[in-house]
Amino acid sequence: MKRPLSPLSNQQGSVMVIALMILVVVTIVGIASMNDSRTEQQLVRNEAIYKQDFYLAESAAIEGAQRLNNLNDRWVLQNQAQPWLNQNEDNTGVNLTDPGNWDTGGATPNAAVAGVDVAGDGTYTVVDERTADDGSLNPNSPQVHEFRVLGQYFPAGRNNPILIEIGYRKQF
Amino acid sequence: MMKAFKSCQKLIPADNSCGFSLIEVLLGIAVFSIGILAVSSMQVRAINASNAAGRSLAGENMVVDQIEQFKNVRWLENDGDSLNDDPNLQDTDGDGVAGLDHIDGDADYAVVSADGEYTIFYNVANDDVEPNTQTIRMLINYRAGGENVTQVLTFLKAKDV
Repeated sequence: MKRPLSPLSNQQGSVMVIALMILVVVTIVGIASMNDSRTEQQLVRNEAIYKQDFYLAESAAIEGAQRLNNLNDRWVLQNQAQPWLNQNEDNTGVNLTDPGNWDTGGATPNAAVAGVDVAGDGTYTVVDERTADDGSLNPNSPQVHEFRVLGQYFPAGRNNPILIEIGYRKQF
Repeated sequence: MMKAFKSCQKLIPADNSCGFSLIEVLLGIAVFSIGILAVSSMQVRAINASNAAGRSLAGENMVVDQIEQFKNVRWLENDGDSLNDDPNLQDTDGDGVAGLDHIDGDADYAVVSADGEYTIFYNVANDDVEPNTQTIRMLINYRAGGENVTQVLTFLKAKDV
């Protein structure tokens, strides 16, 4: 040994150190790509849940619209109170475009539970907005009504409901 | 250790890096390759997972595509007794709402995708929630990430909407 071996100039074992350093870098890349694909999977799972909820909300609205159409009679529309069928908000003072104001079971229900999902997390309501501008005022001739059909799906465990709104025009 | 490298130091006295021996290189390669094995298996898992995610998405989109097509077909007399019946939207086994979850042979219809990877089973129930409506439940079956996956989508088709 010609001069004392300083720890800094001793390069023995350098291959191991370099190998471990490269390994650390590669491991970080690997963990990052794992995270990436896990996020991707979660994304797809959430998307699937959203699609299911969306179609159930839409189905609730479609059910309301078809039920309205099935009345098919102005007398029934005007004289036979349907809990899910409401006058427009100017008359009732309740803003029915907000599903938080819907009531399917109380003393004065203004919405109905959709039958399409068994758990009963879907609800709908129909608002009779107005007689359309071209609708006749003559009580004996057909009237065109404009309706607003709202369907909602809000199961437990979701942060927000999905709300679907359909405009529906019908001549009675 | 130093003793082993004496001869090397005699050859190149000024150079202190003669610890770069065959054994060290071999050890380094061994440790490195074991580590690389672990990382590459992690990489394989990541690829599989994103593959599975892609397959799920493809399946979802297939069902949504089918649903939108069904929504747009004309409402026909789905009463099973006339030529006007839609051949694709019948409660073929007549089990109504009780048979909505049926798959395989019990399902009303089974559609296999062009590549044979996905099978869509769907069941129809007439007038279950309201007259003039059809409740249609689609169950798509495929393999993703080595397991069998079934996803469900339910929707309502109405005569006048």
